Amino acid sequence: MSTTPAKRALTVPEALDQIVAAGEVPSLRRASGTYEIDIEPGGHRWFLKVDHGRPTLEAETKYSDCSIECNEADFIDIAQGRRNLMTAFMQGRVKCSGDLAFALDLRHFAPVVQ
Amino acid sequence: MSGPTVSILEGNTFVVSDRAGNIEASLSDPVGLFAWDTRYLSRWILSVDGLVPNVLSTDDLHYYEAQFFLVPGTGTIYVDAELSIIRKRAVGSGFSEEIRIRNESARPIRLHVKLDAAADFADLFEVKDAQPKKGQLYHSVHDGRLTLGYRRGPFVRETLITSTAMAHVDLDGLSFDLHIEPHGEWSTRIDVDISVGGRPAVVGHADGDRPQRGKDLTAWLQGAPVLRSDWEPLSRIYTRSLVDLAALRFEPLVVPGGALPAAGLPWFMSIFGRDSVITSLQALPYVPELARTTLRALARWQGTRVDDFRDEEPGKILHELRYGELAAFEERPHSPYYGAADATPLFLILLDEYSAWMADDQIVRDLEVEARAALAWIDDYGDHNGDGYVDYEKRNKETGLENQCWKDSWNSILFADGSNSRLPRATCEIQGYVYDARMRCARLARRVWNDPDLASRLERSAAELKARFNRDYWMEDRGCFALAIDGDGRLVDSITSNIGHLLWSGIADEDKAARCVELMMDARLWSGWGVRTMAEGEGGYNPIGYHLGTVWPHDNSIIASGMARYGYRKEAARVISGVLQAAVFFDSRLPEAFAGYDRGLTKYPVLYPTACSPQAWATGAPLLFLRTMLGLEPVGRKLLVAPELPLLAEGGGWLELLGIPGGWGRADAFGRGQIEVDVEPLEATMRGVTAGAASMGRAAKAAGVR
Repeated sequence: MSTTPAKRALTVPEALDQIVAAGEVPSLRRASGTYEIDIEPGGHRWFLKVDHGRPTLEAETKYSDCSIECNEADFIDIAQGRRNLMTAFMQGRVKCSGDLAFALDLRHFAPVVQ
Repeated sequence: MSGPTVSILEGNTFVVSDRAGNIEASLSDPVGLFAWDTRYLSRWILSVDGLVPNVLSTDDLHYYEAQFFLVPGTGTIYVDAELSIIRKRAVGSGFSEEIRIRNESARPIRLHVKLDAAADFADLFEVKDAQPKKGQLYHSVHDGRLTLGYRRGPFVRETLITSTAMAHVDLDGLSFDLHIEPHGEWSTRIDVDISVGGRPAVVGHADGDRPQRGKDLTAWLQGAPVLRSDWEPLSRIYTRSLVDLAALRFEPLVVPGGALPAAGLPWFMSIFGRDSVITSLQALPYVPELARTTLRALARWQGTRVDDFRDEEPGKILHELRYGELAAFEERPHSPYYGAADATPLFLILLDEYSAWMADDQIVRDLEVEARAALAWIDDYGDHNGDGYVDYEKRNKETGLENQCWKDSWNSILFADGSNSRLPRATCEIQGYVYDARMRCARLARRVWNDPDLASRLERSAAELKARFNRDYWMEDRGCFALAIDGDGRLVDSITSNIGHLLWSGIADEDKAARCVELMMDARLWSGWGVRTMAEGEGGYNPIGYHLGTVWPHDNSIIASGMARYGYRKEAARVISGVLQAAVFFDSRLPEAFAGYDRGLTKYPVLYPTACSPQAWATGAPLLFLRTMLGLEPVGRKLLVAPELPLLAEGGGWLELLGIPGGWGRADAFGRGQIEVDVEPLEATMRGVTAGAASMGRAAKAAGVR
């Protein structure tokens, strides 16, 4: 249903690199926390830290504010804005736990992922 | 099953059953256990020896709890029943039901008790449609637990049913073979839990939460100001509003632990931008925490991109959020849907009002990014045709809303000849909201954001808008502002209640405001109970048309507040008197709307059949009326009280509101009735009514009328 045009297929590390490289997202200037991104199958895990809108990738941390669990294709679709995180969550394609409001902030990164 | 229903709810979980506690859903009976916009039980029928018991009485103990007293069917000839059956139901994340069966006879009895259960997992939007499901229904029995389920790919919803007493469980429900001694009793508790995607919706079940909810309601009522008045119905109306607001509290997923007002019970238990903001504004002097959560939730959901399907644009505040299957699979756009042109300026108005009332600048700092984005939406996206006015035209041509203002029925924006206007439509009240939002944000920019340039820009654009609006929308021949400017640039010339909102926002010039007040007190708009949504005599007028002549209490609360703002306190008092008197006839609970028949014609306000009761902003209307009567305004960290009350009761009437929360801590307000209003005294009205209104006896008794 989304009107967003299709973007090039990426891997999760490429998408996260683009998010980090783009730097601060002004609309997230008030947001801080850490996403735990769990990609299944495969058991790959990344930690994306956001400090007042500025994203960085972290090594393993003890604490995350929310975890987002899904397959790689769905994560890329969400990161690129092709798939709506809320409907993916409601459908059961994506499992979110922790701070759901912070999880939804992920949509603010979509414009920078090509 | 058609007939009276009983509804209980908690959060966005609610149960609608018949008066015996049974559920048998059909296209004409939207009953069941609903949670997260999905029906988790569509059949729930108690039978004893194959017969459905009859109802003796039903009690709504609290908004979350009901009790049903039943006896076995004894045919048409009265025979003393030997069994008493008591069902006590409390709703939580699902519901729990305690069933007690007493043998009132002196001999032992054997009974076969059965609870039939089924679930269709209909989306709330499907309940009245006969749409086939796209997924598969399934059910299973394991370890004494009946599971009713629905699966559509990864979308899984389940209803889990267990009993504390030993039961025979099969795919159709639970049954019990009982032997009860003389004057003995048998009981069980049935837990109906729901599961979303394989996880419990909320940890725990209904029964375990019940004491906490009772305490919570008590604390809620104790936290609100105390009202005392010698017009006794007012106390009941006030308490009713507070209890209904408690029932309407909805915990948004994005603000854990907070509660905002959902739009209405039972079908609109969700976040609605416009409804949640207006109700929060009405309730601000009583339960300000609702406004805080509303602001934070709406900010979290603020639009970030252009999405035609959802009518989403960057900075726009949502219209409605739903969690059911149709929203999940994007067959409906409510995830969330952004089709409201007024929610964004209303959000800004609430931000300033909350900040002023609570002397809370922190929230203004916290939401600065969102507030600036909302202001940018007004400038960049709000005006589709470049005429300088915020208008609306749906991007989603299939399922988007035709009218994206508060009068959101398809035929609400009509010309005086009854013909429909064209999109995009710039309704007048939205321009008022935009003006008010800019003026308020100018203050915030100067005081909190330390941005005097923005403040000056906003003040200039607000002043320019006001001047243009008073020139372009004014209809000299009709003596009021046009309802809208339509897509062809024509003035939509019906006389409507929307002009009252222009006083509330302050956009109307003084001389034009005077003419609008005069018109609202004229018999064409004034029904005797309130201001009609459309004036009698207009082409589209219909006293029982949804937005075409009915009286809406929330509309009138805004109108009265606007009249008071411009100094028309007597007229405001008249509006307040009329609507509060109407409330007495509705057992102290104002409905969403009532018919616009002339008071002299019907003698009592005629109920307009609507889907939801209570409705949030109708519940909030008496609260805003009280604020208007007492003239409550925050000034720094002080509460200004400037009462001007109508004569409420014989001898004038008095009113006290004690412990009003705000930036001053707690403060009290007092007022005495001074203003004579030519609204017929309630007692006289009551005497004039001889028959016809079902609730009349109760209402009259409640009002102290013999």
